[in-house]
Amino acid sequence: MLIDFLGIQKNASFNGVEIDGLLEFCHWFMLILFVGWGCFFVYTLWRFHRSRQPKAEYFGVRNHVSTHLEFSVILIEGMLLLGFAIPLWSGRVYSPKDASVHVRGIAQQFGWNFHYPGPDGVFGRRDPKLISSNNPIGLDPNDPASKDDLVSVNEMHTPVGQTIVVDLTSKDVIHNYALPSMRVAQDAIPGTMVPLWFKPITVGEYEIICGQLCGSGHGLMRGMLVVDSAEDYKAWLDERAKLKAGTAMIETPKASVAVAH
Amino acid sequence: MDASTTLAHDSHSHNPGTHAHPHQSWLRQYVFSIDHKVVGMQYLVTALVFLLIGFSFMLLMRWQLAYPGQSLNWERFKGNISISVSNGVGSVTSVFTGREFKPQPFPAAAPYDPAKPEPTLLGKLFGKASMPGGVMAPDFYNSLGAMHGTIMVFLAIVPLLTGAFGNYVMPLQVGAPDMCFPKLNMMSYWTYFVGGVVMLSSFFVPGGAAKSGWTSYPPLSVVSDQLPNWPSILSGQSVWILGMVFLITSSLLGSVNIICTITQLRARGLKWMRLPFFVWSQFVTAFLLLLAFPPLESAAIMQLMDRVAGTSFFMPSGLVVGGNIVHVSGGGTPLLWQHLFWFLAHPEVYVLILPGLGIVCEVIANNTRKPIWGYKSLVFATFFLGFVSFLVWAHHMYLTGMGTVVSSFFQATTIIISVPSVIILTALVISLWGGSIRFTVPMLFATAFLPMFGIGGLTGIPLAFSATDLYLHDTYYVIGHFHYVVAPGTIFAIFAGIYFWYPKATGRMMSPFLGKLHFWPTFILMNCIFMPMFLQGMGGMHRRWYDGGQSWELAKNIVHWNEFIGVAAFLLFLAQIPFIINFFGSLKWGAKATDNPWESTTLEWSTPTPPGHGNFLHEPIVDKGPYEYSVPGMTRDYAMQDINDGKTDAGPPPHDMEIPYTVHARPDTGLYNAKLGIWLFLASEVMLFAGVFSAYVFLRLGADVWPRGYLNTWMGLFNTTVLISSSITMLMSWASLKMRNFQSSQRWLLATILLGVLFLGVKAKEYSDKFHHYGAFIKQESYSKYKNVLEAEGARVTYHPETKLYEVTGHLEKSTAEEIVLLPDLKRGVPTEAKEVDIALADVERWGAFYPKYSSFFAIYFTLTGLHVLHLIGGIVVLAYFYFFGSRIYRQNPEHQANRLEVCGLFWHFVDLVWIFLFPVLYLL
Repeated sequence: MLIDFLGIQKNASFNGVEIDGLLEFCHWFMLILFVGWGCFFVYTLWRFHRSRQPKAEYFGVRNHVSTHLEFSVILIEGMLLLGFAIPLWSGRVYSPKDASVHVRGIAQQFGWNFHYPGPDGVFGRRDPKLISSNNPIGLDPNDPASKDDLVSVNEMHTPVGQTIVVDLTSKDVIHNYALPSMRVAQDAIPGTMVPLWFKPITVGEYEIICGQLCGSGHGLMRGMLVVDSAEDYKAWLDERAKLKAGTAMIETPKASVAVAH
Repeated sequence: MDASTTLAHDSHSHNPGTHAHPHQSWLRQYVFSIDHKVVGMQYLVTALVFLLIGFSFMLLMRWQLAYPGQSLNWERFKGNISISVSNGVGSVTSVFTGREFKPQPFPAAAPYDPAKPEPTLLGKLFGKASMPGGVMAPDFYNSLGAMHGTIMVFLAIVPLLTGAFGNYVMPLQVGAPDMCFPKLNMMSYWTYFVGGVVMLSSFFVPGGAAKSGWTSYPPLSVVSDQLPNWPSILSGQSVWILGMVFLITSSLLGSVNIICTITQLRARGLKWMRLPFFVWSQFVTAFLLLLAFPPLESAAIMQLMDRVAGTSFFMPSGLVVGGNIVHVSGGGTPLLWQHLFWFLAHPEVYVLILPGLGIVCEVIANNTRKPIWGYKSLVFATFFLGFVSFLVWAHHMYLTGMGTVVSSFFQATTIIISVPSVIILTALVISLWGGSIRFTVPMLFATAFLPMFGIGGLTGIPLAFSATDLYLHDTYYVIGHFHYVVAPGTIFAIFAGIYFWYPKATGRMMSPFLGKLHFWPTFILMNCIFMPMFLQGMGGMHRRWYDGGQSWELAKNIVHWNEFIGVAAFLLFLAQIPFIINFFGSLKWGAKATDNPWESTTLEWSTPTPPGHGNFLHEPIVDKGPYEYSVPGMTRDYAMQDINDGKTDAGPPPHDMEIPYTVHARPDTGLYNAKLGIWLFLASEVMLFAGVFSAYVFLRLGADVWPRGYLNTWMGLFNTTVLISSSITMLMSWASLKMRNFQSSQRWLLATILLGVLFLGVKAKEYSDKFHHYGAFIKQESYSKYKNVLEAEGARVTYHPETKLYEVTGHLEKSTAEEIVLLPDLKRGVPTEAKEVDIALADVERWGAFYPKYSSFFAIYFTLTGLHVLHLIGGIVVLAYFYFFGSRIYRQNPEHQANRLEVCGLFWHFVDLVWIFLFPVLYLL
């Protein structure tokens, strides 16, 4: 595989397979074009060097091979666009019906808050006025829906083999939730809530990158996606719920990153 | 100008090759010169300096990426580079010998004592906050990143392509005595220069230079660089915006000039399809600059308003930065900036590449000694490219939450735009076939350009598709992609151009030996720098990480490339030394150049070397295409475009080498120069107002409540009448002059000016009313306290569901620390008098006069009308100048004065038209 040779991150998702296929095809296409074109180029430079060709031809190439080549390039690009790229994208942006886990990702300088709706499946109300050091997303404690909600800082857990939907937004500036191993990335834009979905197929830990410059700590804004087996995932949720009941309030966020000044 | 050009002929006939005519002071000849060649050289030298500065910034960043957290001083620099090189050599040889290799570690950083004076030069230069002890701070890394991009694009590459080559070569190639508007040309250089100085000065304001990337995405760019004890207008990001406004202005002046010169000043017989391709590339580029830059200017104005006046064009409601609620009216959208930014910045990509392709085309034709293959398809492809480049901007925004329909459109346009690019590249490559290729230094760079540009183009394919872009977006893959287009691409074209036209400009050849010593290391090192970036990007390494990915698990296998790239970049710096020596040394020691040292065909080689003021010693007349090399049946292998075939002093002395068509229309275009100029300028003005108007549409569509009735419609209507009348008087003034009735024209002109002033007076009254009018946003939970009083009175109360606030407006009677007293505005048709209402400040979320920051409505109202007022003031100043000093020109040349009034009138009518559009949009709808 050409893209593996180039060092692509190992794909750990169901939805990444097709994207890798398109990436692979694109790179073969590029390679063939470049090599073919490069051979012609180098041969031309050698063949028509002044020492071998003291007098230039006024007309040069008289056939229309290049037109055919141009049309084939356009044809292949068009085929890639209509046959693969557009369908793939429409597959990325629809809301999956079989989504079993729904999480909200609320970015801030310089960390990720993950908001789980809890057993009731309803996200509690949030209000920016309630944001404090121990309530990083401004969850309204008086809203009945928020009673069982869980908030996890910089650590996101999902069960393996399930379709995960993450609604992304931001408290302050634009961030980007980039998960190379799941082949997903989406801007987290304040004032909007944009969903993305993926389906992890391999248990493991994956780094969540902030892919959009967000200030001095941008380079260290890291989240961790932990893809658990179904049992581990349940255990994690229970542990979180217990922790929440114990502290009665949402956990104090760790200083998300240490920024050297 | 008129006098100087007439005098110039005499000096030519006596002394061919004089640089400028002798009656001018040194200052006018070399500093504030209006000669396009001097301006071109000024651009060249200034932009090359900026190229070096931008490159140095990247070297500082590359140090940080290669050796994160290490102090940058001479000692460590030598140490680290030698360790890196020996480690590199060691690990490569270990692959062949099979022996295990243990890399030598870098010494630990020395402890930093902030109490002591800064130990390094960089620490002293950039201050303790930026480079404490020579170690780069993250904010400073971001500043350097933002400024590297800004400087390279706006202060180095574009000025080199359009400012230097566009100014120096293009007028010569079209056979013109100078640019169409020489004074404008001088202004355009000096505006650029000031913009550059402003940009660089931002490093030395408290807080440092802009640090939100060259793209300056809000809200980051709005909330950053806001210091408690320093005015926002003078902080890094604001200075960046101010610098950009200068650069945009300079670009606009330059592009109007370029288009007019090509259209109006083409030599006799130089039909459109006989233009050298370089001229075509300048023509399309100028249109891109003219139409794409104004929306960015409008966006810059709005960002400045957000930063300084507290408006919310790009700020949504409910932002919490660093745990604190941001107190702005909200309701804006960050994506609006991205749309306006990329609407410029994508055409800008073609601004960066088209003139480069133009230079390469010239050099290839000359050094293959045969015509360019498919000249016509090149020209049409360029036009198509320019046109489609306005329709692809959102492919930079695939990850903003784009739906299928929109993304399909932009993916399709992106694929479509690859078609002309492929056609252009193919034409250039096929042009080599059948040639008799000589590898002069310019040709080496032009040849290398082709595969480098090819790599840049090909790696655009996976980025063009939104699905594959998901993985590659904002990784080093993207960095590699666009640098291949611009660095070994365009910069190679620039070098080719410098080596190619240097003899014409200076009369000396550059050393081919030093040229080759420059070319080969540069070519190899460029690839060493940018090729590994594709691997890093494939591995998922993202851009703008100030530790270079050292702390990331996923980057552990690719982070070592940073060291390799870093060393290559330092070596690339060294590789430029032969060029610098060659550039300056050849002035003195270079071999003397003949008038046509490359045996080229286009018109610039029919001038004396270096060309004097007015350029040509005889009127150039063209009877053939641009690339007539190796014409069958000819003894010599090139036929020059000029009918005199390169004899620089052939023919009768020029009967008229003044700039033609300043007064009378050019027969084939039907326009005199200034009229074409003003139409182009108005086109850019349309784009400027359209940019702000798009903000109006965005804000209004996104608003939960759009306020009505805050403006005095009758005053607005009165002002509309005033402006319409002023257009009529303006027209009468011009018509009177056409009929040679100067007195009557002056009277009408005075009436126009007075009407303009009257409009400003009414506007001032309207503005001051707004500043005395207040509004308070009462919290939902406290509203019940005031509900009865307000309702009984019939006060106008607006509920904002998004923020859950009740808005009460009125005249402010009194304000104390605890409460405000308002005389509320009443609903329409309520017969009673308003009574004072006391509102406790504890119940109020925010309150204030109708300043721009009060709400989105007032933000857009003040910005749009303010911009309009500035235009009106500009118009009044120019008309007043004509009123008081116009008689002088009128006595010399009445038609000229009539033309000037016509051109000003067009601008005046445009400003009126803007108002006629603004009035219903703001007051009525």
